[in-house]
Amino acid sequence: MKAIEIAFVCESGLVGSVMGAQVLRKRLQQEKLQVTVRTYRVQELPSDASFIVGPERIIRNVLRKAGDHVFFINQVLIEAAYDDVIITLRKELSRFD
Amino acid sequence: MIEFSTRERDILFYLLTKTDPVQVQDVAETLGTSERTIQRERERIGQSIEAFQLQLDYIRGRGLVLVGDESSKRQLREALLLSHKMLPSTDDRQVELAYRLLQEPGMMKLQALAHAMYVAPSTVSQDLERIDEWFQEYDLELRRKKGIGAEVIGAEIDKRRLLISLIFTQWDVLSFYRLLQGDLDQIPSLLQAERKRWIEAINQSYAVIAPVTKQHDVSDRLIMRATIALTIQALRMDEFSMHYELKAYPIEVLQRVDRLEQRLPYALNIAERQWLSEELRNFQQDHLDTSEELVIRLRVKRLIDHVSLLYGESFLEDSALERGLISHIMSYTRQNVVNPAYVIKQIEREYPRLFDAVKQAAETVFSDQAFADYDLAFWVMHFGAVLSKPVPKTPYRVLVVCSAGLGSSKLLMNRLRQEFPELEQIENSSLFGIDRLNLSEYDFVLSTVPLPDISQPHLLVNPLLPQDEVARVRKLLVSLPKSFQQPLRKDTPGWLDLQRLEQLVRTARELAERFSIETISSRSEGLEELLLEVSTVMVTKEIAHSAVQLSTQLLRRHEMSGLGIPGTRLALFHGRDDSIRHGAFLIFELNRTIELLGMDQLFHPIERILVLVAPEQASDELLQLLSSISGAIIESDERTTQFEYGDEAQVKIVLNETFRKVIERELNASET
Repeated sequence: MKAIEIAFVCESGLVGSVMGAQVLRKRLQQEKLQVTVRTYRVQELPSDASFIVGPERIIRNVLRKAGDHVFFINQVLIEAAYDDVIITLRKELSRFD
Repeated sequence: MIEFSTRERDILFYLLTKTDPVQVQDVAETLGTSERTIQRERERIGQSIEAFQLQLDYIRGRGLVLVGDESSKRQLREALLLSHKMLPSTDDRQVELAYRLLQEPGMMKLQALAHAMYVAPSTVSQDLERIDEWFQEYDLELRRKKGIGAEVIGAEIDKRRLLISLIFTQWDVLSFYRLLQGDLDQIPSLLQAERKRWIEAINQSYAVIAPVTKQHDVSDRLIMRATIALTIQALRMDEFSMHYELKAYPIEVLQRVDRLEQRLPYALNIAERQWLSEELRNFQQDHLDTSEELVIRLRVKRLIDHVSLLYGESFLEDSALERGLISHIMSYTRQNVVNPAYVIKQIEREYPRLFDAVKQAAETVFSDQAFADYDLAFWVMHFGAVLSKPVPKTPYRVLVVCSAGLGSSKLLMNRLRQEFPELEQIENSSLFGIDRLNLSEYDFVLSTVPLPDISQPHLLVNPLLPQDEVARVRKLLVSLPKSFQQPLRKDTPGWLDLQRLEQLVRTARELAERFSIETISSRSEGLEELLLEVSTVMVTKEIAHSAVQLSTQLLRRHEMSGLGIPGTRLALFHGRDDSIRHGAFLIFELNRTIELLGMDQLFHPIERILVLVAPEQASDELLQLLSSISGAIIESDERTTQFEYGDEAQVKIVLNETFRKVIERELNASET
């Protein structure tokens, strides 16, 4: 099974995703989940990304595959905004345990 | 049998551990005596060792050396060891000195002490310095008057505690019981001077204590301690008064004291009752408490002496060994879950001769406490660690096992890294995967599922590793003083992409050079004019082609989503656009406050605008560096404040630190 990797997307790939990823990574560390978070500019998002996080207006139109997880996070700096991401990650990880 | 004096013994003992000549000065320093003394002893020693076909040579400029073949040396070593028990060692002498000082209510003259102990006043002086720390440990003060004498200042209760410890260093439980059974020669030489008083008092105290202890499961050692405590009380209470301190005791302790008092032929005042309460409290907790550390320390010293002699290699200079052994013995418990047979086997294989030496020495020194081979194996490891120096301690290699080898073992690995930084190599495997691994490459195994029978030390743990399990793992680690594993050969570091590194460094330098803090003095109300002014500055700085195009872009970004950073006076305008020529980060200080939409979709007052831009076609290196700035802005409150209020020079420092991290990551990338 391929390790889960979260793709954090924003328009330029410079600010929103970087800051959001930083908040998310901190959250993951608190939750003791070892998951990589990478940041992407929306048009450079790899097609095999399956765990996608970003502002709704940016990733609304991203093409999805079956089984993809997409999370609309509009308030990227707020830790609580990632609750759903964490819950889903937990579920995903425990499926293989 | 040849008799050796204490000093001869010490000198020979030291020289036996050396193969090369030793400077007289070094011998003197090690033994805590003068060069002259060593020189004086030389001739006598030379005569004493003739019988062993050994010679004590002095090589000019190099020092003293014992000459002779190995078997002769071994014979000498054994002879020294046999005489070891009968002669008071330096430690014994110091214990006696401390004991004598404690017996005296006031100042004791140096001369009198020296005379009573048959040593030179200078020796007493030296010894006083050594034993000073013992007193300190018991909250006592050894007040010395130069050339006159010394006096112990402090509370009676502390004096008594130290006395008990001193007696324990000289007396073990076995000979204590022999004394009780009538073998009066078992009294330690320390108490020999007042032999009759002591024997009488001890027998009386034991008669009082014995019935009380029968109802409880009290260890022999504690009974001995309580007996001595009661004896010291009987001997001292008339001359030295105790002070009462208001303190609460458990009811069982008080009941026990009551029962004792009823059996005593004399009455106790409240302070003396307290003394018994303090002492009897220990009955409940059957472990070595800290007051016994002194006892253990002196015994460990003697153990190290013995092992050095038996093994023929000096372990004396290693203070870490002493500390390690002491803490090992102090924290000694039988709850270690390590597979003992495995450890013993490993140790016996690694240090066969050392194991014998330690075992033999332990029997002599700790004759009253039985230590299993299992415990001794750990002691051997402490000694072995000295031998194998200066090889640096290798990090532990740990295998973490769970049923599937994914989630819970990952979780456990994370917890382990948090709690045990010393575990540098943590690997994981599934239960079925362990068949494929060479388990002997790991120091120990932690598992979330029951394991089949494996030879490695292993523990079953909860993947969340709660605190009590942390303690269990810690215990396991303590019992493995050093990793058995050879350090893993580091993989040759990967290829360092110099071109990429150069590009990264150059880009970082350019970004740093382009950075500045500008002041915007726009009088106009609108954001549009403000952004145009910002863009114009960027054009003059040759960062952008067209001020109009750039300001439009920045405005569009702002309209799409808020850019204000909540809780700060900052807004971060950014974008990638054709009109950008070079990547840049700039700060614009506004001369007034404007209300801007923040990232939380609320309006915030903004006084500083940060601009982060990159060309549409930007190198990886540039994007990496620019991203690192975004990250830095919200990295910590301190960092945020630096971006909010810092002047140009301060922000430059922050940028430099941020870039350094990126570059270091690049350099280390090949290693991970």
